[in-house]
Amino acid sequence: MKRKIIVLFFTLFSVALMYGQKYTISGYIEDAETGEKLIGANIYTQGNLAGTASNNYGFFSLTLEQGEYNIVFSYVGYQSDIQQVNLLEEKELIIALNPSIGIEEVEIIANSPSQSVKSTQMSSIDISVESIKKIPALLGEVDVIKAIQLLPGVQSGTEGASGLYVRGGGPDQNLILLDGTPVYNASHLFGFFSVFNADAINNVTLIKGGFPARYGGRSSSVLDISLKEGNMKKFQGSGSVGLIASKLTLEGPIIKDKTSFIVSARRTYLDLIAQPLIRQIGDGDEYTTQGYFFHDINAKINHKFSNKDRLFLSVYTGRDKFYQNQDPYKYLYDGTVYSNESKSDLGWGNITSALRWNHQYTSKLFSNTSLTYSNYNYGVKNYTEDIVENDAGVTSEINSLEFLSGIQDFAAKMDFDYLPAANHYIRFGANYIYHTFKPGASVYKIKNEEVGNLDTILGEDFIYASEFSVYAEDDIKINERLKANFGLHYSGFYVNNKYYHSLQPRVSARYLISESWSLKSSYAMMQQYIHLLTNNNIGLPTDLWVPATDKIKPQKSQQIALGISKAFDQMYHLSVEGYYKTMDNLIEYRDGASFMGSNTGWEDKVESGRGWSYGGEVFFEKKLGMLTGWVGYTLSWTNRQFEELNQGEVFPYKYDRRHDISVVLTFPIDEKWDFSASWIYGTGTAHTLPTERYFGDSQYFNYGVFSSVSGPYYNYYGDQTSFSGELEHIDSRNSIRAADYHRLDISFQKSKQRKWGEATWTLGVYNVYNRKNPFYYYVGYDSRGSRALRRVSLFPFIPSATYSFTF
Amino acid sequence: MKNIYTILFSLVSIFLLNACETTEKIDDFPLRPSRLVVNSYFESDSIWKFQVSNSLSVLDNADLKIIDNASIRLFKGGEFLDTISEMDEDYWYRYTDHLPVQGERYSIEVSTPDFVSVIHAEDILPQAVPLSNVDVIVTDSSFNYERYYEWGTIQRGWVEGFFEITFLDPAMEENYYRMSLYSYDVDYDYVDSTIKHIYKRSVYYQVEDASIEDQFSSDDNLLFNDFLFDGQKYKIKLSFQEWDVFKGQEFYVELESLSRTGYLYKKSISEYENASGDPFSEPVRIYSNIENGFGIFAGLSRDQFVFTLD
Repeated sequence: MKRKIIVLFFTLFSVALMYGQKYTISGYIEDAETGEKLIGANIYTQGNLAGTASNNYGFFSLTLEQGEYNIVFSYVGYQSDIQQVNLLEEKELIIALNPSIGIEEVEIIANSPSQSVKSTQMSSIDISVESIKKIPALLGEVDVIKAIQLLPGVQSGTEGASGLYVRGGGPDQNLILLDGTPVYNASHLFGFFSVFNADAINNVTLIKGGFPARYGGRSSSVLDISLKEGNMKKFQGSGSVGLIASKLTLEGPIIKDKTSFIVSARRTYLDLIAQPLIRQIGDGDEYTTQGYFFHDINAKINHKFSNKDRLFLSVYTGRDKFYQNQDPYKYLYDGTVYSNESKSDLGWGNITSALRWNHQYTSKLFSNTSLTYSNYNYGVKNYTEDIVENDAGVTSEINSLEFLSGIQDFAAKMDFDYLPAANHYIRFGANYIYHTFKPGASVYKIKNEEVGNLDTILGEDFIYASEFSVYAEDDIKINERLKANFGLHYSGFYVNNKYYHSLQPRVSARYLISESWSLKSSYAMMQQYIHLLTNNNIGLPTDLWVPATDKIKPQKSQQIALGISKAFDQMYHLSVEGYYKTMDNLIEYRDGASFMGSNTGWEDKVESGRGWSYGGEVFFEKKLGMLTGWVGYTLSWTNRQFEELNQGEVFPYKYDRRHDISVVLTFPIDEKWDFSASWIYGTGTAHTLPTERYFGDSQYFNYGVFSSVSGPYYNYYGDQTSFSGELEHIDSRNSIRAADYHRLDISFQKSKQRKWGEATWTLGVYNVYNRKNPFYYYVGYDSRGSRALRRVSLFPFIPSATYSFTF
Repeated sequence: MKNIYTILFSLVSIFLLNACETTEKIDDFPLRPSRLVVNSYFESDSIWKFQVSNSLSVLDNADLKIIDNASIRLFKGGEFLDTISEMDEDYWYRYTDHLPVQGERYSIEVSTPDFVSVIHAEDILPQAVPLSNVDVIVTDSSFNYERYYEWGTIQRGWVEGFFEITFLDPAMEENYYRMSLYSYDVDYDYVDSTIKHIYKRSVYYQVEDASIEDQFSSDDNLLFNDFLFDGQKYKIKLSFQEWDVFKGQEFYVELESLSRTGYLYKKSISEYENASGDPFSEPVRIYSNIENGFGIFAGLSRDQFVFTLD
């Protein structure tokens, strides 16, 4: 009997062991044609729909009980793959998905979960590079930031600018990452174009709220841009020749399936086009050349040591430059030859680089270690040389002045992904940044007879600061319907013997109402230790990053959001969200202050205050099918309050738009032609304009002698003040609403297969119906000399043509 | 190549010609009714002077007018002094029976038959802060050209140097100052050279003082407070340069002691005028202590030092 009990016990125990055993399926998911990793791909089991998503490096891990499964691997724009797996041990898979060629190729898997519905992440949008390339663009220049500005909750600021104003936040509150490296100035040409070359980009994600704990350092948004790794399979290239810029991208394997590279370069030739125009408009001075150009280069090498180890090195460099050069000009006077040469330029640009190592420790633990460098600087240079030649000899005088300013970061970080079970996705890590702030230094080089050789540097000392953060988050599946992400982000900042720190809780949750509906909510606290001194009107290179100080504290924000997410098959997705956000320690320039001139003592030019923003967003998108695109609507309010501005009264933020609508559509007309259109509408932004005028004191009118019949404009010896100035009164900041902004852009693309590849002509029109949208206002005079409110508009109807090719 | 340039030139021209200005009609742009404006600086032992005018909407094409039928009630420390209602030919309302006294608080009520609202304002006349010492160091000068008139010539040139100005700041009180440097230039009418014109000119100078340099708001308008040197004997060094000067020309160093009201007003005026024409600067709201109206009613005291160029 005893023996029977023991045998029964061991039999039951073995059965129990067998049924309790769990194994992990892990590996990478990639593009079958190029080897590019697919970020955020959907991996789930048919039937019980247990699943996960691939991380930023294409890694996935799914722990299940032993048994037989059909595992579905799917990604938008790709044919799904189903793998039959008999899970009796740990499995490693490399999944390669083929891109779908046409609508016929798209296979919709019944009952497949929409990642957007199932994810705990809300207030986040992934936008595909293919979509970005199809959106009609200003002057034909495809632009990542311009595409982001078409999403709900995101304002563009002024016409054509590349600023991002997300849910009422300022342009300095966006963490813009390029392969994990912060980019400090993402603008070319005053913000009309961004520094991101779409040909080099793999993935773009915008997070507006519900920030996971792994992000920090900025208070309003995260724009995470990943560069392509380079085609591992074959050499290929692409390029385009546009109205103002051309680009070329080359990528391919160095060692097939092991090492790849990608290089993408872009340059504008505005200077070459404008030169004859400037000469025609100007006085025909053949000695002076002036112009503007920008260029940028992205380069990346990717090496796969094994399935568990990969190394990436990526570099970005870009530069803008305005220049005016006067060639040596000589003239003879009274036997002496005088010559003069001068050069001046204004240049700005970024350099970023990242060295990253991916390591897979086990089937459940993955890490990324990065060393990054980021540098933004701008400089103004002026050089003159005067030479005098006569019988006595040759003398020369050189004057050179260079003003430099910027910010530089060295950073190191480690991020871990740990998936111990199907219902836990744990992330944790640490980050350290060494900042060098360069508020401004002037380098003088003078060579003449009086001073000899002078080479000196004047200006503010560099400011050094350390910033670090640690975080941990867990995406937990609590039950079949409820999933939540709990996280903590702790950060600290040390500068000039001052230490700031903050513990920031982050929570987001998703409740599945059904397989296609979910209810989501989130709370996030963010802290930002650096500020951007910027002009609110236009992105200029003189925008300067400065650290928090003992006078100017770090910015903080808190945001709660509530929303629903609904998927209709795999084709449509709807999200409706409401949010409320508060911001503290915001900075604004004081009355009369301007970023022009020196940034010396910038703390005295700004005031600290608070802001708050709330509203709702509706986003309906169709990612698959003949017609793709989206409709976005935002209803929002954004206000500010500063004790020392506007007499302490609340005033609307400049980019407080009550209603904002965007419609983006793309569809093929036939086999060769594609059509795309975007229409945007926004109610007027808030402007500050004078409302009344009256006589008052004037420092200009207290000098000189002049008279007028309507006097009193006499100012004689002994009469100190005449109150002759005409002053304009401003009621309050941002109290006048501009006219509504709306614009239609269209483009037609015609592609043709050639022996060597594919050629595409893109013909586009920006502002089809030539709407004179407001750029800024001022009080002036109309054509009949009557006082009037004048609106200045910037971009009218602008056609463009771009020729692009792939081989 | 030529065709490409022609096409590109046409495209760019289309762009340039179409970017434009238009006249805007904003339905809810506030068209404010006219309000009373009173401007007055009052100094110790000096005649009271008031300018009364109107304000207009920025879109109103009428000229600003001087109001000639205003009634100004003057109070000292709350006690009624007198009513001023006579405007002189030079558009000032003047009052001489009681001159302002340092340390006293004054207030006004101004009304006219054309305006419903009565405007009020009050301010204190601050004590004068005398200049303890002014040293003038001329480092270089040259009178190397002449200006000719029917009756003779005047030699003119340029001068540069330093002013070192010392004053004692009163302790335990907030003091506000305005330093200005100016000269009176004399010239004669080109048609009838017996007619003399006198010009008040600002003198270009730079502040050689880091503690107040941040408050330096324009070339000739040094406005500052005593927060960094309260109760101390303070020395300011100004370097100056002036062109087209003549021997015997008078230079004035003036230290105005302002009330807080006067300081805020003059500072906002200075910021307003500096920002004027700069599309990137933040707008300035001009300070006013006039209730129900615009303008300024502020007391100030001053001390001067005169330097004659020889």
